[in-house]
Amino acid sequence: MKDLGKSMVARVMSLMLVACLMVLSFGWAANARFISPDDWDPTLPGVGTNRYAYSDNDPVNKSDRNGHQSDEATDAMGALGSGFDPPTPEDLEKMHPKNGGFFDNLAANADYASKVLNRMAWDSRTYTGISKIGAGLGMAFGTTGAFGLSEGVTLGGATPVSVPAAVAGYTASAAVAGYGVQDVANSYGNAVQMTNQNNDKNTKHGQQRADEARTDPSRNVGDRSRVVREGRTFKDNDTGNTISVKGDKVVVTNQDGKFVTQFHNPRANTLDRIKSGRWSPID
Amino acid sequence: MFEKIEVWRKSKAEDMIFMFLCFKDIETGYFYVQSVDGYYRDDKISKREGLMKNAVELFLDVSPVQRATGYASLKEAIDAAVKDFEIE
Repeated sequence: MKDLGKSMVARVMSLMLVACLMVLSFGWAANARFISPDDWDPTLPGVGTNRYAYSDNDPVNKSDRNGHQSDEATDAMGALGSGFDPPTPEDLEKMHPKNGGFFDNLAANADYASKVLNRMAWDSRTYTGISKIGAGLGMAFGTTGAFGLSEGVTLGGATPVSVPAAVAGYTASAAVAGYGVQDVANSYGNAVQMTNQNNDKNTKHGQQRADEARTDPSRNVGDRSRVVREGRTFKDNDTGNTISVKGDKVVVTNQDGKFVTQFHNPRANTLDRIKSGRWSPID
Repeated sequence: MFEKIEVWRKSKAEDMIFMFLCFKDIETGYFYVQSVDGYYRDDKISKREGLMKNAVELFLDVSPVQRATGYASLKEAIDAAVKDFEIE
């Protein structure tokens, strides 16, 4: 009986130890903080002098999806104000499947992978899921509440997918915990599989937008209108068209507000066009 | 070297077409969508010329390989662009 009691005590103690280690490893959303310092200019909105703060120290009400500033600040800064120096297109090309793919490069060159992940975070919200993994390489958090659902992700030229942020968060935690790249890759694969199943259906909001588009033929829908609505606007001094820029997405509309064209444009090229006077800021 | 490919698709939401300006990398066989242009019934001919000028400019400024993600098939590239730009 005495031995049985000792065994029970030992078992309970072991469970408590494991629970404590898990809390220490992953933390709670409400206590989320980065374990590597932020390298962005602290004077930028939402960045601050605390190099380890997460979402303005308000993880319950805000999120910090690019790992540098709260989403509110990111939105406020718009397309061109971040001051972030992204990796070159050549860097991004390295992660193309034909050149070995993302995870091969992640294993081979952590610094390069970090740049790519940062680039994704800078470029567009569509990379949110992967930026979580990137941020996760230097963060200690694993709960789902702080993330919500991420949007679409383009990974290394493969089929664009969406990654549930909860899963991405888990993946990030796995990386932090030192489980290795292969585990991260496996987790990502699981996330892709899960999300692809979910992608067959529109969300309620998505369905509403699609329905609106069908009933109002003059309405610009989807991302195109979002770029026009939320992006910075410029006047093309050659054509008189209006240029809307959000992230690396560019949408051109004419004087009547009709759609002309849209494309991705690297930040450097956009800046060149502005500096040369080809595009003049309207807002 | 690239092969230029145009893919047309009628809009489901508006009385217009989307023209996907795609390039196939002759060396790798990958497909890239450089831009998605919109054409309306009442467009002037000069618009077509303007978009062609824009296409040349985009190509000269940044290679399609660097501007867009490459896909093994044209359909994959188009599907990705449709999803990326949420084209109806």
